[in-house]
Amino acid sequence: MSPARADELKDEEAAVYDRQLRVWGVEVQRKLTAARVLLVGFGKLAAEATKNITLAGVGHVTLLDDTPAAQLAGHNFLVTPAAAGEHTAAQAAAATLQAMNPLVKVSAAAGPAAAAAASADALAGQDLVIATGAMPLGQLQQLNAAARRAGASFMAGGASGPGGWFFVDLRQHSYVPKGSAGADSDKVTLQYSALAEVLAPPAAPLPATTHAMYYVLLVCAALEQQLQRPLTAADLPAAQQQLQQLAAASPQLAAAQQQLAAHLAGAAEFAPVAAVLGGIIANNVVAAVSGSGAPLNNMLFYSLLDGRAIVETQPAGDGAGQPGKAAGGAAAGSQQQQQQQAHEVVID
Amino acid sequence: MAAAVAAAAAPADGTAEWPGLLFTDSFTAKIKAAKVLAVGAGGIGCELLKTLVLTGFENIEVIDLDTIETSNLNRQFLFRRSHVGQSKAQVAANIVKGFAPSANIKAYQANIMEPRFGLDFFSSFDLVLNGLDNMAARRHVNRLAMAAKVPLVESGTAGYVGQVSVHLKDVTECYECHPRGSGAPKSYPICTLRNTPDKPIHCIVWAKELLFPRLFGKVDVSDLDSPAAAAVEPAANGDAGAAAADGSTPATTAAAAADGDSAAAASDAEAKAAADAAERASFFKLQEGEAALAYAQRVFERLYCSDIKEVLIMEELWKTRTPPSPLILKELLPDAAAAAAAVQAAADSSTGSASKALGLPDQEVWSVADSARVFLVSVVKFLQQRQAELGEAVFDKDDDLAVDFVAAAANLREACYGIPQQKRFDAKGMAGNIIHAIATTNAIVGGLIVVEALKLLAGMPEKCTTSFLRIEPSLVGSRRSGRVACLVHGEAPGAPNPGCMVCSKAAMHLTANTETMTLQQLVDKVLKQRLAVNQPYLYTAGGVSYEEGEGLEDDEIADNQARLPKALAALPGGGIVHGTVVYVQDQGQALSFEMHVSHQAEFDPEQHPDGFILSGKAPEAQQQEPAAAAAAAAAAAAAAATTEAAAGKKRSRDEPSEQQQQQDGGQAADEQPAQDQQQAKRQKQDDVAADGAADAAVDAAAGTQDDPVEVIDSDEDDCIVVD
Repeated sequence: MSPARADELKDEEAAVYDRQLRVWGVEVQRKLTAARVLLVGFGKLAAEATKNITLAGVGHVTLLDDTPAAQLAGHNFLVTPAAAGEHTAAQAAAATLQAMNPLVKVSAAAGPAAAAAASADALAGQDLVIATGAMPLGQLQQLNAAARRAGASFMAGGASGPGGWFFVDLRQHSYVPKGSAGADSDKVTLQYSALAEVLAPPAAPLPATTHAMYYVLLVCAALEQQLQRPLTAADLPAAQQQLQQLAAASPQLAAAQQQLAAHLAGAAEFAPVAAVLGGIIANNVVAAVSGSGAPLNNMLFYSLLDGRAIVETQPAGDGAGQPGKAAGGAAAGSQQQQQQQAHEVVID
Repeated sequence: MAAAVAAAAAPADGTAEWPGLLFTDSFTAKIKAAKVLAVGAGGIGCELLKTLVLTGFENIEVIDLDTIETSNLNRQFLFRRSHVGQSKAQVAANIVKGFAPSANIKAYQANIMEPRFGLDFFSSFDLVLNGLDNMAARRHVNRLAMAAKVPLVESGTAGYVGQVSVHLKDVTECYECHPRGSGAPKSYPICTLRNTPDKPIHCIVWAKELLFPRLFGKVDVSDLDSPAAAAVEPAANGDAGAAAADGSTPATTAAAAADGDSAAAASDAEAKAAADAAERASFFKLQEGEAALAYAQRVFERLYCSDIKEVLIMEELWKTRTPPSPLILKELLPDAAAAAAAVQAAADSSTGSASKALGLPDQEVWSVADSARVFLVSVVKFLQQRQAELGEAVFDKDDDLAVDFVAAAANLREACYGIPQQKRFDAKGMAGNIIHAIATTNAIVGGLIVVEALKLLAGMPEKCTTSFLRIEPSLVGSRRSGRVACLVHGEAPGAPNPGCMVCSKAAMHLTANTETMTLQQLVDKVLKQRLAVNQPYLYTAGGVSYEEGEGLEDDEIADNQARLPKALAALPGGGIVHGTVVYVQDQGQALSFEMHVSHQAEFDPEQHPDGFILSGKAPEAQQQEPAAAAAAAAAAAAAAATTEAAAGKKRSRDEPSEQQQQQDGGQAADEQPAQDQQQAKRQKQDDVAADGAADAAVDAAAGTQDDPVEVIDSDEDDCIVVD
């Protein structure tokens, strides 16, 4: 008469997670339950991503952002005006998320998002750190480095106006491709670059297909480095000048100029863009913590200009030609997969 | 010259163009003023509502018939445990107003197919956005949106993949311009189910559709008849359509006919079949004074031993197949006394689930002996603890005991036939046709819907795309321009199909045997099943007529029904014969089309199992170059569509509006039964779905090739209909 075994999901988990268990199975669900994820910075994009990973069942979600919740009320679905009160954004959102999924633990850490990189406490024990919102790129690079030191994977993303971006650093990551039996021999290992490498000035001209948003990030990172301070709208002419030099030959120049203007003007996160990116971020959280399915390697750009969410591996380099370099090999591998998928998808 | 002037007049900052205009004050005001209909408040609907209000939409009406269930909570993020059982539309509206107090959201707990949501209702919106889970409602909304000329954004998700498309009358293809499969549930030949299963799904359908009703439900189907009877199906059971209730038996019959094994000894077997049917009916009854456990053992022995032995006698079946082997209960549970005591103890326990009472896991495949235990315990539990339901029970995927029974019964049959057995979890998925659904896909699709909605609102339908969300990036682009790996990308929507019966004036062409096809068959199989007409009204120039729907007097209803059994050619008013044009209308769908009839006596049952051929055919006047015509019409029509919709009193074309009014008015108070429940649904296999579920999910009738991902979020319970 003993009830379910120890390794079975609890009845309640099985009931609530039933539909997604049919997508990713019990093993992935168990790994999600064991995972700890820290979200640094809390805006619309963070709200989307956090909602999704909380629903998915990531065992412990921590939010870090001491912005007064009242500033978000009316613009963020996790912060109701009624609950905003004296709370921080993190506290108000954590309460909503906790109610959304009582099977996981959602908490708010104290302190400002900007201090995350310097706070060993905040990073300790986390499997994954996700930074979204309007943080300077330099700060994100520091946070990425701190996460690596703390043994955590790192993701970052941003949305401004008509476009957005998403970056993944899983350090070294092994996964079982979807559809494979899961034997050790099926595993694929990816070697990721840190954000600092991704945003370093490119050594060679970028391929013609390079996304406009990547130029924007490169230009902003370089200018921040040069000025040693966060950028403001007043830096737009200087930034446009650098963009002109970097992307002169690119068919993406006009798009990049438009996106750069929106970015430096501090354009708000646009809800549909945040919804799309937040979904993609959460899918990658599931892949990252479960080791099941291919996570992005390592950037994704979404723009309303062409309606595409495009994956790129940066820095592009010529890694594919160097058999010894894991990242290059993996990139080639994933491209092959992509090609297969391009055919597989056209069914039904 | 004109172009140059226009270019010079446009501001250089991109605020006149997509997407720059989105962030202008004038467009923000336009969003705020727009009136939007969101159909569905489920997986996609919750995400859509949230993204709409955060984008600035303030006037939203939302319709959903469903109530909230526990299994919704992993993705329908507006709902909490405490909301289970409440209206999705109502709760969603309340929660959204909680974080967006300026939003004005009107909720209806209702079926969108109710007549009160007619042309006037649709015409009052600037945009219709679908988050639906079934084909019938999608087609219905499409018809009304096309008739009202209101732009429609359609969506679907399954697992990691999703799709969003835009449908605008005279500008893009409508949802029904191209065939999307019949929408009928996946069906299996009855002979395969009864005698020669070779996949898990065959055993699960057998357990759920044939065995479960035989033991616990209403037996109005002779489907569990003996193997011998099944073998002569084509001869003896040509009329089983009536029994199958959904009228889809021709496929079964055809499949059986195609099964050459069964031709032998027809008349002998026919007689035997009748005797067997009677014998079966009494065999599966609980005998006077019989203990529940004894009954369960007797049924077990019959199903998995003597019936299997009987099937083995039909040698021709096993010439090319591996024959099944009977299961002997005593061998599975050798210590009969101890086993009986354990089964009885588990059956007596208070838990409603047989597998839980036995401590068996949901996520592992049970041994054959364990399946036998679950089978016995679930039968005994049903008889002892759920007596009131006996004779009435209907399989429900949320009924633990019913799922236990089906999983165990199917596993035992699989064991007989050497078919891989299934975890209870997977058996439940297949039996309940349960969809695979995650929050992220719905969130992304919700965002994509709003993006397309914004393009339509901006009067830029030429910017609209059919958007695809992929499970893995797919390469898009040409070798010359370079390929990029896209997780989300769009394609230009197709032009309207001039042969479409919904959005053009095209006629349908029906080829049938007008001397044997009855009006009932025309109405049920052609109009309702294949063409998704909801409440048909048909007439011919000669005077044949038939009408369904509200507002009819009792004697009129009787008159109409009296015509149903008649053959088409024999109908009063000259009949429907070769060359007859039938005019078909559905007031509720603002649909009206012609159907040209041809007579043909014989049909190849393999190619046309339904016994008729239905095709779209554009009348001469409609023939034009579709692409060019659409392109020319595009901008003007789009602008017209939005304004017309806003002003909107476009009436149904052929019918006086009086009757329309009458219907609209008469319906409001009268709650329509939920039609969605039995409606045909279509699912796409999720690339990562539990392997076994594939059979249930994949629809044999696939969409067109330029429709790469055609998916739906089908949240409701659904049954695999045996036909």
